[in-house]
Amino acid sequence: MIRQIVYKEVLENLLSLRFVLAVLLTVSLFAICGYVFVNGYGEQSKDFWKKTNENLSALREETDQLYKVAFFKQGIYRKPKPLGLCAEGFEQSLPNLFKVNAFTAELPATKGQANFALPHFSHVDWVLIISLIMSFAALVLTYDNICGEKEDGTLRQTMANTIPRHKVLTGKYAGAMITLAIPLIMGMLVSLIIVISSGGVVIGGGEWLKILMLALVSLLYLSVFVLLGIFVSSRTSHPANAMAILLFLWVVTVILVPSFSRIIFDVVYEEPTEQELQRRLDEAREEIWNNHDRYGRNAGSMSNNLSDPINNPPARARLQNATMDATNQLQQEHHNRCFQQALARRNFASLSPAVIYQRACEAIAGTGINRCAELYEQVGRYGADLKEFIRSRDSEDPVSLHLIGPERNMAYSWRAISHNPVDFDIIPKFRERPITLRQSLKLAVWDIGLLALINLCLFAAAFVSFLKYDVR
Amino acid sequence: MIEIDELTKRYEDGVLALDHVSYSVEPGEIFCLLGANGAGKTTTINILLDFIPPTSGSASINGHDCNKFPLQAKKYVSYVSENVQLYGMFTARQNLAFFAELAGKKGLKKKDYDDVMRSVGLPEKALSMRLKNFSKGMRQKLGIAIALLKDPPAILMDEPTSGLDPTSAKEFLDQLRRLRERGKAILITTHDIFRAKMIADRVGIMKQGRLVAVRKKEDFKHADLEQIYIREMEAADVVS
Repeated sequence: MIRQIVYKEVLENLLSLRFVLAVLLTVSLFAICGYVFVNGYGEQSKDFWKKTNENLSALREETDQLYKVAFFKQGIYRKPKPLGLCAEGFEQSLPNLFKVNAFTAELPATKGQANFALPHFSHVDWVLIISLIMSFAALVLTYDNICGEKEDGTLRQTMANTIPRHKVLTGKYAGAMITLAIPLIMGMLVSLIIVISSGGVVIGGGEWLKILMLALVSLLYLSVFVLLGIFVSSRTSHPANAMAILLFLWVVTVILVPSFSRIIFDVVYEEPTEQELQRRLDEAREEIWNNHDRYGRNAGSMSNNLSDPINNPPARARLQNATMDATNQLQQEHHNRCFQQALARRNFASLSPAVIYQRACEAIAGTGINRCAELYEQVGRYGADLKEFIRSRDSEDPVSLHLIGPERNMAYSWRAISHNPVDFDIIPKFRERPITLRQSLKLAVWDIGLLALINLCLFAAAFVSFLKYDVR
Repeated sequence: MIEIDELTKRYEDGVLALDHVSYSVEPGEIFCLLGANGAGKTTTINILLDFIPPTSGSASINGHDCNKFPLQAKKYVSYVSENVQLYGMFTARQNLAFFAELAGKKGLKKKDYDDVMRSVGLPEKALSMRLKNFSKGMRQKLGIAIALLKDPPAILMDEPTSGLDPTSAKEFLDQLRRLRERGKAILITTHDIFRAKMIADRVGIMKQGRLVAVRKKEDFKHADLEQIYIREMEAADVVS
């Protein structure tokens, strides 16, 4: 019997003007999204490869002496991702440049684009269309699901038959979900066709799986609003009242909660500042330099003449390494605090299913703040690999003092690090390891679970409400 | 077939809609419930369809208690409301198919739909018309067609002739006679004393939740049913 209710619901929706409008609006938005993405992605890719090649060319120029390679600050740029189409993750405002050498990975920075104003405009991606437009469409399709039928008198006619209420409810839910899946899938396909046919974006096998996952999570998110619509519809007698209540709830959950919770969070929690970091760095360095004797005799003094008795190269190298270690640690702590604060701010806004959905999609697509943090970690690990490479090449040079320290002058004047040339091809190059589907799911599992839980609660609420609903 | 036994319904606001009402409708019988607005006629139907629970007493269809086993009871009954409301965007065929399938009738063919349309006096071409283009009379006939497709032993009708033009009302009564001949137990609530007299085998007169009288066909066949109705109502006033 559920099948008949589902069929009736789908047919009724398909014949309605609101469905036609929802399809037109969402599909055209998906198409615009695909078109805008193709243009932006092409520009970003060109920019990325240009800067990456410039970085490698500059590195090649340093290969005449090993120590220069160790000190050369490589600029590693964030590669544009094809799945930015689905969940851009505010990447336009996140850092896109990571500077690293064998001794340190600087804090992520943002390298300005040609038009400085562009990053301030919202990016249209699938998540935006689904979280705003389609969630509202879900309410428009369901606000009169029960009370509208009551008002028309058809609910009474239906319930005069031998169909249990839970089957009617399940059928109505399934019918609304199938109806919503039509513009969703159509929109996604249109968007993907535009992107693929452009030839500039290549979507790999793993990414297709992620797109499938994104579609499923999107349905889970839309299901929240379908159930909310059915629940409110089963609590009211008139469709107009149901629509007014749902409009209020939609504005609160999708617009107000995400915006205001961020504002409240920023007022309540103190942001770690660059000035604070600089103060802590100065203190740490001062503490090390004031106690330079603990690293050996004359660690704090240096003369370019190696035979000068004031010099103690190993002590000097220990001191410089200690300073760099302290700097790296404080920078890492600062970065972690910034990252944790960003995550906490998002968690603070988790009352909104839209925020939960956005977070889940970014995790699956491998974009946004998580990707930024992962990239910074990868860059840090690359710096350590590079240092290890320098150490191994340096050990082959009998003239070098083998003091791998972060003081360029020491490396140059004393030959603390080898001055021999190095083959460019054997120098480790940075390659971003993409987040696997497994990692993505691990990151998204809590948010998916949370959406499932909200669905369950709303279904239970709608079920209880409809059981008690006066169908007369 | 339809058994009402000491049925009482008191709403949450204290209004007593039914007060220990008892009667039955047998197969092949048309029982008309007469009464003013608020007499409790529709409340009885609402309890029979399990739209509301009774406060005390019982209502059953084909031996199945409507409150305890509503799905069992509803297997044996069709319902035609005062204003048959179906899905306006659907065609008559789509509406028939939907409600027939809800009633458990599967695999119906075009001939089945054509037959039922003909039997209620609707042209076959109306099958492909959208319900929003149907007149009230046509919708009532389609409501009967839905009941016929289900083909249950009992039919409940709530003010079925209300708003029908004389021709449509006559066709409707003819249809009821045919259903009675097929052995259906039919319970009709109505204000329409004139048509009740034409079709009913028995009439029940309700006032303020009480069944104040039940009269057989022989009692009103050659008498003025309206006079009987008024007399019983006045007598009920004196008693109360």
